[in-house]
Parts: sequence; structure tokens; C-alpha cells
Amino acid sequence: MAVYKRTYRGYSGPLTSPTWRFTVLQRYAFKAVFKSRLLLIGYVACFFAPLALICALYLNQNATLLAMVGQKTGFMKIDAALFLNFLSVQGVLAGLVTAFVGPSLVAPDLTNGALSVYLARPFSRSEYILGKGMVLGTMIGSITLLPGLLAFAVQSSLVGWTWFVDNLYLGVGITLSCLVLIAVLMLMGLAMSAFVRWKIVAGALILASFAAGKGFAAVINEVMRTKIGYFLDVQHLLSTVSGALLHHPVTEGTSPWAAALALVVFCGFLLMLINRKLRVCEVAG
Amino acid sequence: MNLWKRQLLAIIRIDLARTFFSKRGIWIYLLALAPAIPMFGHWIFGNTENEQLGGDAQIFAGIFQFFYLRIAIFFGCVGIFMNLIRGEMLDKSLHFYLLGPVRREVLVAGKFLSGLIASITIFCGAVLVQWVGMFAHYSPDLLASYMFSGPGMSHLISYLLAAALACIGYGSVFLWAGVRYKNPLIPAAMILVWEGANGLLPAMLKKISIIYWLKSVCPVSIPAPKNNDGEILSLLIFDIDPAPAMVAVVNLLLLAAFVTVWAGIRARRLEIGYGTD
Repeated sequence: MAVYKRTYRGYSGPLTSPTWRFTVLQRYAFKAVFKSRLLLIGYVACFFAPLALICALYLNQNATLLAMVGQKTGFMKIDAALFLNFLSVQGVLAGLVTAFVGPSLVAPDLTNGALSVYLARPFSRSEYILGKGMVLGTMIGSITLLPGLLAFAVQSSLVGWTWFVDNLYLGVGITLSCLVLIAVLMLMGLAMSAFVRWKIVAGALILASFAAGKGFAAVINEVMRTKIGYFLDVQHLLSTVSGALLHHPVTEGTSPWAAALALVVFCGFLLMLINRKLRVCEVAG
Repeated sequence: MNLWKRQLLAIIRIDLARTFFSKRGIWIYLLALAPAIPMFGHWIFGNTENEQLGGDAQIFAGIFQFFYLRIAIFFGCVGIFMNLIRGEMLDKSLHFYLLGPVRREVLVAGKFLSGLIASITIFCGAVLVQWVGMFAHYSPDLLASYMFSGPGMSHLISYLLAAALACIGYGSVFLWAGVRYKNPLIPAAMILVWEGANGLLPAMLKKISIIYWLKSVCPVSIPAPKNNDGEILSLLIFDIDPAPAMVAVVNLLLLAAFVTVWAGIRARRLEIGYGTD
């Protein structure tokens, strides 16, 4: 066929339902994320701790194996503190995943002016944010929420229905804590990616905001002889809220309600940042 | 003047301007001066009547070891030194250097020295500002006796030395990472975890870190917290069996020299791949 006869023809294939259109972005973004072999190895390594916990839960109830090492069943106390520590460890790993994955989601689109190409399609800005955010959300959920609930389910199946009913608050607490963590990290990853645009710097900024926030909070508390510094420590706020949800309150620092309010304000600020930076048109003055 | 020396000075001059005055570097100043904000705030607005100078010296030591060395200088050096090579790659301006008749080793040395001058100026300057903020509210007599008759001056010099050595140590490692890796954040994160886990490591492995030698230079040791509350970051504070300060200084300088030479050799094979970073 001659070149001049190749004229425009509209797409006539099946369309994705508008409700689930954001998953298209998520699917392609996932492919890009897992192109990096190192990231894939790191992601797989995030499952070592959950695997170890599930093995420990199984061994904790296996009388035959425990008898061989001179232990009785239930040598390990399975309570809120254990799940809270588990979530803390996985939370740190989730922070690292955010630092490496988050910046590659939005920054390249902004740097290369590709945002307008996305939004020229029947695709809203919130769908774009949701689609990109779901990549982070899915990854963080798979290393925090999923293993947490799996560990809870394994323990319930090993000990029995009574344990499940008595400790149902743990399952609810794990779910809510992980959802809060996912929301905060997802927004932070997208906001830093949109704000800085340099992948490496954005990643460093995410890492630094956790470490520096905690350090600066400690500096304020020490020097000013106060506790208001805790409001700058996202990790402390998250663990306070998680502690309250798992009925294992953190003894020092802010109250759970104050911590929750601070997290809402922080998420609002991040959303504002994303909203400000993800604009297609800039009118020159 | 020797050709290499002239080239070195030219590179330092260009890079110093970029590091000190770029908009991108503002956060480094903020990071360095962050502890000074509550210190001056406390001086101006706080109740300082019943405070002991010894207590403030202990707080300063804690802030210096917990926040300044481990977080502020660490991330500051990540920003300054990784920007020297990798930043130019992202700016698509590194080829101007590589096309010039300058040896790669001279280029790396020039960039390292410029980063070092900038980081030492910023972070040691910030230590002085913090020192003033922390102790300025005491009476001049007490302050003079602490500084000139007591341990004040030697403590201040030790803190300045530790800050400068931290810039040298971390700077050399991050410069090497910037030359060696496309995404230097991965080695930075690994170093962060390694340095953070230093308190958990056995005595032998503790010495394969920069923070161990830096803590050996610090004049006041911080006792490990009695109640950790299960917080992972409480592990950052740990008691060590410190090495003699002189040994620590020599070791850090040797490490920096080795890593910088390695980066220079590695830079011979440096190729530009302006990607979509």
C-alpha cells in the first residue's frame, strides 16, 4: 500500500470499562517497574521476614518438632506486640520499596512532557494518580497487608476458632494499619516524584524524609524539652496509630487521635502537592 | 603552573559555584542548619533559667551523633557528591568535561575536592552556628570558663574534626558510587542500612563502617537507651569501644584516599548514556 493511503482510522477494538480504566496504567507501570532485576530481587527479599514468621508460627504449635529441641508448644507469645513488630519491619521495607519505585512512576512523564498524552485520552487526572498510585499500593500491600493477614490466618487455623474470635481485633488492626501505611507511602511516593522530577533525588528525598523527620523530631524534643517534635516524625505517627489499632499503645509521644489527625493533615499536604504539580497546561504570564 | 593543577583549579571553580549557589542545593543548607532552628528557638523563646551547661553539652553530643553525623551529613553528602558526576549526567552536561583534554583522574580529583570544600564549609559552618545557638544563652563568664578553662574548646574542635572527616569519608564513598552505578541510590540505601545496623554488628564488623571511626573522634559518648520501646531506630545509639582518635583519623583518610583513587580508575571507563532519568 502506498504511504499516502495510510490515513487516520479511529480505534475500533474493545474499550476498557471507564471504572477500571486506571488499571491500564497500573499494568504498564508494573511492567516498567519489574524491568529492573535488582528491584525484583529486593522485592522478593521483602518476603523473607513473612516467610520466617509463618514458619515460626507453625513451629510454635508443632509439638513433635518442639519436643525434639526440648520445648513445649506455645514457647513464643503470639500477641499484638509480635504483629506490631512485624508490621514495623515490613513498614521499613515498604519505605525502601517506595523510595525505589515511587520516583519512576510520575517523574519521567513530567520530565518528558508525556502527561498531556495521557490526559488527551478519556482519562482524568484522578484516574492517572490512582493508576500510578495503585502500583505502589499493590506492592506495599503485598509485603505488609497480605503477609500480615496470612500470618493471622495461619495462627488462627493452628490454634482454633476461639483464638480467632478472641483476637479478631488483631486482624482488623493489621488491615487498618496497613491501609494507613499504604495511603501515606503511596501519596509520599507520588508527591516526591512529581515535586522533584529527578528519579534519584526523589528517591533520596523519600529516604531522607523518614530519617531526617525522625532525627529532627528528636532534636526538637531534646532541645526544646517538649513533645511536639513527634508530629514531624511520620514513623512515630504511624506506629502510634498502629499501636492503638492493635490494642498495644505506644507509651511515649502523642495520643493516637492526635497522631491520626497529624497523618490526615500530612496526607492532605501531599495531595495538595500532587494536585499542584500534575498540571498539563502552564500559561506563561 | 602545572597543567594538571590548572585543570584541577578550573574544575573546582566551576563545581564550587554549582554546589554553593544552585537552587537544587538549598535543601542541603536546610539539612545542615536544621538543628540550629530549635536551638535558637529555645534560646529566644524557651525557659533557660534552670538549665545546666553540662546537660546542654550532653544534648549537643546526642544531636551531633544521632542526627548530624548519621542523617544530616550522610544525606548532605549523598546530595553533594552524587550530584558531581551523576547529576551532570542527568543535566546532560558531563560530555563537556569528557570532551575536554583533561585526564579522567584529574576530573574526578577536581570534582571530589570541590565537593569536599563545599561540604566541609557548609557542615562545619553549621556546627559553629549550632554551637552558638546551644550555648549562647549562658552568661559570658560561665561560657568563657567552659570554652577556655574547661573542655569547651577541645570539644568544639573535635566536633568540627568529626564533621570534616564525615564529609571526607561519606563524600569519597558517594563519589565512587556516582561514578560506578547508574542509580547510586541503591548503594546509598545499602550504606545507610549498614551504618544504621552498626550497633548490632560484632566488634570486628563494626570497624568496617565510617560511623564507628567517626564516633571514636566524638568527645562525648552517648549512653545506649535503656527503654527502646521496640523502635528500630533506637539502634542508632550504641556504646562502642572507641579507637584512639588519631587511628580513627588516619583510617578515615586512608579509606577516602583509596576510594577516590578507585573512583578515578573507574572513571577511565566512564561512558555517557544520557537516558530518560
